[in-house]
Amino acid sequence: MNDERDLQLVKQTLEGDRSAFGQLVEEYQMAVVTVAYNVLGNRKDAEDAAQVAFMKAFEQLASFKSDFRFFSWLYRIAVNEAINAKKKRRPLVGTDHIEAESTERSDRMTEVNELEDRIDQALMDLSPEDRALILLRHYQNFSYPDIAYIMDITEKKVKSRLFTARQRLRGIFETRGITAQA
Amino acid sequence: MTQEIIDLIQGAVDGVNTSQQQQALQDACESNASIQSELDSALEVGRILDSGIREIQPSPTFKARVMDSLPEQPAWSKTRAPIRRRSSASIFKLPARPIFSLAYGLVAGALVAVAVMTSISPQLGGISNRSGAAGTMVDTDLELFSDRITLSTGEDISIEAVEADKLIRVEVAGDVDETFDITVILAKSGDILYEQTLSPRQN
Repeated sequence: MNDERDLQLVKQTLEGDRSAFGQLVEEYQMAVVTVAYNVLGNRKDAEDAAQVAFMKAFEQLASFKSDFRFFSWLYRIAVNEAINAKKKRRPLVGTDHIEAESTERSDRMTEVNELEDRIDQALMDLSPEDRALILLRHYQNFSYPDIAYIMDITEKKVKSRLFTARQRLRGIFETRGITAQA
Repeated sequence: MTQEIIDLIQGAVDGVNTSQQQQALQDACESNASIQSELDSALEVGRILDSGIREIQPSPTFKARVMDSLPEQPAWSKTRAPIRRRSSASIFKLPARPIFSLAYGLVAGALVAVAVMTSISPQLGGISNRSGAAGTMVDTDLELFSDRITLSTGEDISIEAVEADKLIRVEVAGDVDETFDITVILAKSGDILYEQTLSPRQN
């Protein structure tokens, strides 16, 4: 889907066509749930946060400005929602690992390759913000300016935090023997 | 390692370096093996992340859940300007405020003002020299509806639709001494798609 098409769907939604918003949900649901999952660590919470993100996007749709892509705007809402949801959850030590392993295990056994599984676990050692940052860069290929907008930080901060997060991941990957060929 | 080298390595991982920056990085690597090692490690981390981040497929009911959770009437639906089309045969002008009130007051669900007005028209029949009348109907599931009604009114007609829970109240007020045809078609969103006010009818 291109940006022009997104803008048209936004316009139609604002004119009262809810099905147009449905098309936007259809288009971006996987990306939004994926980023929420990477912040929150389990599917149920991720879907809840993604649902709230779409709801907020709908409620705030009139405030959307086409200076940025709709997708970036939606992502900004989703990342904030996921991070906030993460902060509201009970601060149990190791929660991310436990949930990621227990609630997703059955899915993983059948459909997920081992590398994804191990990277998943490694990402859970980062802060929710850094996980989101890594995802924006390596999963969605957002540019530095887009990431800065989505995370509401400066471009310089994006670069320095990416550097720190990757350094940390590098150590984790080395410790756990994770390589691109694994 | 200097900040400049760190930035160059980051740029290489993210593929955003210019050709000059790439050349500078290559020169630095050739003159310092630890920079080359650092670059190799950073690129490996980038490759792992590029290839191994899992996509999460939402559950089959996710979209439906989202759509069901959307508010029927978001705040912006109350504030934006309605789409208005006026027929060419508009002789009698309704006051502006009540017409806007009509548009803004409707719930963004299924409501058609004409249906509302039709429902109250029997109450208006036979009214003479009275200053007001009112009717109420429950929100309907109609998406689009058009009809024509006859109101007995005077020059000071006002029509307002007011949301009150799930009820829509329409009030028509005026000195009743002439008859007009009024047609209003509203979309489900509350937009006025069509409105027409015809002449005082010669009875």
